Amino acid sequence: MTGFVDLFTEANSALHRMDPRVKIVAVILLSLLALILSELAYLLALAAFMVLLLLIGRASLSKTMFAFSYVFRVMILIVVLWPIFDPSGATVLLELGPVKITWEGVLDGLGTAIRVFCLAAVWYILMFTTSQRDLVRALVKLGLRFDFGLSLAISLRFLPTFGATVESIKDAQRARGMELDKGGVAKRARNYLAVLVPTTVTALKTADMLSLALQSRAYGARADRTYLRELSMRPADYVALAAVAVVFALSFVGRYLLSVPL
Amino acid sequence: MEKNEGERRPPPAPARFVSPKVVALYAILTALTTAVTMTLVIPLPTRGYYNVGESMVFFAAFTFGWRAGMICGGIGSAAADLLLGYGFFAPITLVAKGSEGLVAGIIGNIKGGAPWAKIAGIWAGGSCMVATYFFAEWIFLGFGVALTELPANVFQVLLGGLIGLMLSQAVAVYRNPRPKQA
Amino acid sequence: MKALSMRDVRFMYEGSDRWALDGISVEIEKGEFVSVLGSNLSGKSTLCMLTNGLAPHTLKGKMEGRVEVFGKDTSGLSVAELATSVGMVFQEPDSQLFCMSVEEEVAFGPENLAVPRDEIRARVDWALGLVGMRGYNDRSPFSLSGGQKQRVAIAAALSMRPEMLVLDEPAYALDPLGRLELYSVLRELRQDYGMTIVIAERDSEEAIAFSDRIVLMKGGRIVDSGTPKDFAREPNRLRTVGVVPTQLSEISEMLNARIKGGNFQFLRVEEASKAIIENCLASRAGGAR
Repeated sequence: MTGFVDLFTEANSALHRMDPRVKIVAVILLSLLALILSELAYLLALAAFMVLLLLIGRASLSKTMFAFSYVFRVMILIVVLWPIFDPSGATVLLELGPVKITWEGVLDGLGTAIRVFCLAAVWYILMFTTSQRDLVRALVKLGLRFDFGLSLAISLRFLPTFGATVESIKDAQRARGMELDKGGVAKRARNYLAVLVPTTVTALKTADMLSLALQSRAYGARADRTYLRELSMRPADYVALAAVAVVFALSFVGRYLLSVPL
Repeated sequence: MEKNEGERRPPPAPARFVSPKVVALYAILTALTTAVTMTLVIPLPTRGYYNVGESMVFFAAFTFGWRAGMICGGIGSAAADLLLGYGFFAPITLVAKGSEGLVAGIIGNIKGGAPWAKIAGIWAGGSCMVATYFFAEWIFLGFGVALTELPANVFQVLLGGLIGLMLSQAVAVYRNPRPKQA
Repeated sequence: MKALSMRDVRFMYEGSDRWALDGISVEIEKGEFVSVLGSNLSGKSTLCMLTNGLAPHTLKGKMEGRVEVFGKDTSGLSVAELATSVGMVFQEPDSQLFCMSVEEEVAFGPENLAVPRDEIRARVDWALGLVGMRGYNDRSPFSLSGGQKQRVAIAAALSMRPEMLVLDEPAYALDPLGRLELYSVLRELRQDYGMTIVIAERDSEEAIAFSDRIVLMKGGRIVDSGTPKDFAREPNRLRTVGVVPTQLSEISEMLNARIKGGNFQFLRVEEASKAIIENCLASRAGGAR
């Protein structure tokens, strides 16, 4: 699972056009919603909605499989392990020595696995429909300080550069017959060091140069900085935001104030 | 083209931003953490894989202090989660690795960063990370999953801590080639 | 008023015990294209950093003497304030472009200076058009070639509307085509906008073809200066500071050494090729006789 797959997939879908601020807020609300729900039926409904969003956003199959490969493994682990460690249910299905499998345990395991799918999907949808540039811009508009946002943007910009540096040094070492993953902990540590020392030294030099470049480009010259591009909310954005907020509020009130089993 | 008028007057107030040096350094350390987390990954039977991103958290904490360790370690590792497609884990990672960098940075720099302090820092910081993941996974994924992930996390701290320690020593030599005379 | 004037400037970096600049006095006229040539550690890079205040404001050290940019003493101005007078382009294309798109890169300076949005838009279009990068607005700087990166760096400096452009070995990492593109942009800037250009280089090829004046540096001092023609005629003056003469002057020298009474000084490729063809034909004809 190495290498750089940029999850962002360019397309002209409704989700791609949505204001990134709305998407960030919606992702947080939908994540909380997934945590609030505990009935299998509602979780399945939420999961179905996620699949619908994946289709609306025209998710690419290969990137989706890449992103979900780890998630699916975790889901299987949960389904298998949850009932073993949760013997609290009443309907006993199987008893093997100290291990007691109950019907409620199996359902809880399934529910948790589906919740993990919903959580993974909603964050993946954010990442594949929103460019990194828009993400940072939205965070700044949502209140992140400009200088912090700039630092974050710069780090995302240099990520592929350093990724490529690591890969090329790794290849060079491999060409000299060095296997990174061989030997004990100390041996492996030294192998990795041979890759990381040159990478880090290069990166720190870059940081020094970068600070000179930032100043030469009038960084911090005025407090009333302007912005070339602004984000603007369209009617559809307000509708989407309102819909997510209403569903979340209803579930929250229903679950915690009215004690409806959701 | 004419110059803009507002620009010609002396600037009314320079912005109170953090210094460009800090912006640049933190950006680079964060990018390094994310890049190393994403590229240097090793398949493992239980968890699927482990990575040596840990080493950059410890490196940042030991070399540039707890603030860099916390911010760059936390955000850099969380960004890797987001970019690899399990963004739902990013908030947990932010806390796990952020606290790891914070604690390792504070303890590891006691007495000017003596080797024993750094080892104590790895132990304490690593404990924060392992504990955060364990309890968060217990709550969200169940006890069974939390248990299977535990050994991989411990191994990751040991390897990452060792590499981070050696890296901070090696880079210190590069940054100050001539040791200060007593 | 001079574009740049340095008087008895000395500079020693913090932690060093050697003067990086050791008594520099130089004046550069408005609209002049000056190449500063020298090898490593000649001090040409430090000279560049002094023009926009990076030294001594950020790169700390001991400084003596006075640096004036368009009549203003740089010691009293911040780097950000000087950015509207002096645009700076560095050697490494990768560490001076830090935004996620070309457009953001070029807009970054004027945004910091609180220029109104419409004006920024106009400046971005103007600067990208000038360096031949229009249409690349949404590309990531990471995906560009070395020459394109350096041209974006120039555009990013130009969008702050400086009167002088200072470039520290901008062509170092570039291939010959990239170098040519870069220098063509600089020539256009000087001709069409009267931009003052100071460029530090370790190579003489483009300096002789494009600049008005060449200054040679060695050991932190200016050891020689003259017009490109002077140095094309006397390539040994370049060699004394460790700068390789142009290929044309090397060809002239070779021909002069082989042909009795030869006294060639090529300034253009056409002259050189014509002379070579004529002399080869002449010597072959002589051999047949």
